[in-house]
Amino acid sequence: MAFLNASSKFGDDPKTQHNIVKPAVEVTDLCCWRQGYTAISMLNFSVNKGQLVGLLGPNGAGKSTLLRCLAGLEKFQGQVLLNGLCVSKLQPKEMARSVAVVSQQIEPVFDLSLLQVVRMGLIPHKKPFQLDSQKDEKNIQQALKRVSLFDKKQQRFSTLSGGEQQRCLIARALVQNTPFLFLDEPTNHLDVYHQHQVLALIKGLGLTVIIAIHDLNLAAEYCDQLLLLQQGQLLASGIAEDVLQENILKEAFHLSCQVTESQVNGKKLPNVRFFYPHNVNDR
Amino acid sequence: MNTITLRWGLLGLALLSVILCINIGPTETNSFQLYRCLFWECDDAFSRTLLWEFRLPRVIIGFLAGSALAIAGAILQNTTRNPLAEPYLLGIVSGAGLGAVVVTSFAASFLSVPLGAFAGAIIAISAILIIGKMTARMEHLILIGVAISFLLAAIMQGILYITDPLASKRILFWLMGSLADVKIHATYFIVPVILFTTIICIGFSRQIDAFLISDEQAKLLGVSVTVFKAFLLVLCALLSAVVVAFCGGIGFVGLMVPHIVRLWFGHTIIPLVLGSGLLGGIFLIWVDALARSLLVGQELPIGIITSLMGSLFFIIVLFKQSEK
Repeated sequence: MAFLNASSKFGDDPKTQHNIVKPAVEVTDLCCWRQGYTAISMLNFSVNKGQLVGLLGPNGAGKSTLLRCLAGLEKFQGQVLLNGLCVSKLQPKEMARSVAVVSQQIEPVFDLSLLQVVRMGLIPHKKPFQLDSQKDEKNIQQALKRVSLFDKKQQRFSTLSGGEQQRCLIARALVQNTPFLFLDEPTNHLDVYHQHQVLALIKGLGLTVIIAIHDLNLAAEYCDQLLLLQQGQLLASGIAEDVLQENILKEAFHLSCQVTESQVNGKKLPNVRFFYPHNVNDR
Repeated sequence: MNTITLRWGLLGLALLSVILCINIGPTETNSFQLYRCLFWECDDAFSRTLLWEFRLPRVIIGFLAGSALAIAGAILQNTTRNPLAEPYLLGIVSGAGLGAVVVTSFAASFLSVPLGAFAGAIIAISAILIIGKMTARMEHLILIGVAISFLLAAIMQGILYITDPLASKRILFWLMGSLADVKIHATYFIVPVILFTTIICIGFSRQIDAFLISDEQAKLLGVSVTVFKAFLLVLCALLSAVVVAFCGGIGFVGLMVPHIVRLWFGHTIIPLVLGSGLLGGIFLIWVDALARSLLVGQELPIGIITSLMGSLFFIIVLFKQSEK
């Protein structure tokens, strides 16, 4: 054992080095301030390649801020490495080639068609004057079909419902074709069917994905790993069974809850139910 | 009407307008002779001089000036996502006017007027951006622009009065514009700038279109937002400066034309810039034809007509916005 440790530490044996899986996302001592208050303080975690990670936590816990830091949109202290590359040093174009971000909501003032919005996913991959290839067209159509919006591709983006807009942005992220995918509450405006459709789609991509999500049961069903944030700090992390525990959730959300076990597609999963005190004196 | 018909229709209309506008003017002339001269079979020296020295340069430069202003408006509106952005309202025209006046008052030469106008336009744009950033009111771009516009115009008028107490005619030129004294050498400046801007818009159309959503989304899609936006604004300053240096301060073309083109060709930058280039040109040569022939014995400054139409158009846009 001692010998093995030593060799892996110095990493001079190529065979042993090959065995060490380097994390795809590595966050070290991350701190972020937004308009004077601390949004994230001393956050440390790592995500392995191909994992689907769910960010949980109450409103204002720092989920969106964390995603913005990872996407290079916020100034922060500490270090964020994506495949070993430092986020704060990457140029926008390099960044857009490795990370696709689906924000909560966008409101274009000038109206674009759904197809035009999805086509924007090609921007980081194109040189000036370069036209779309047939393969690009195919990818765009495929992406639209995967979020079942192909029939509406000529429609104006602003005439779509909130859920359709969200799926359109997911299609754009698919066209962007990046190894990393960060989504801020992708299931927010979606009906039950499309919540499952989108999450199953994302999981099936095999990319390294981080999503902020409020539905704990959906998170338990689809995520490989959960990170529970509270006031910008990591309260709990790990697989669903470890994170979704009554005492932890009570501390995070200030509500008593019950975690039972339920069967979903033959898999045993924790099932969370919260109890809001309807008696005013108990609140 | 489909887009292809519209596209060719606009191109045809542009050619037709140039040919028709050549024949409009206060000087009595034989139309037949004039058009014969256009195609190199000239046996009337008067018609030849009138066509090649006066009418044709004026129509061509009028067309190019309209194109340049409309293209600048289109780029400004798309990159700032503000439907009211245009060179005149943002004070870029006043800045260019001030720059040109400073240069002509102290050391005028063939090259220095457009260069001075360009420097003034850049100062105006920088002032707007700096004030917008400092007050964190980028959504009030137009208000800041109008304030800057008045400030720079006041300085310009002050300089004109100090250097020449009878400067009212020159002030009118820089405020209202005129195509009366244009020389064909203006094309050496305007044509390259229009061509360069159009080529940039075609080559970087994806990046420019990303601004239609938001600056942040553009960044997420790999656009170096600050640098690229600054570059586009410099191009708009250049477009406005070459027009102002030779034709004076013509307003509102950059506001109206892109709005109409957008109804036909949509919001993306390539059809918008190409369409605005054509329609802006068509619009301005007809306005100029009107300015030449409306009053007997004298000319209206062209900016009076564009401002009259443009300010009404501005109000219509405001109404449309409040409906949303």
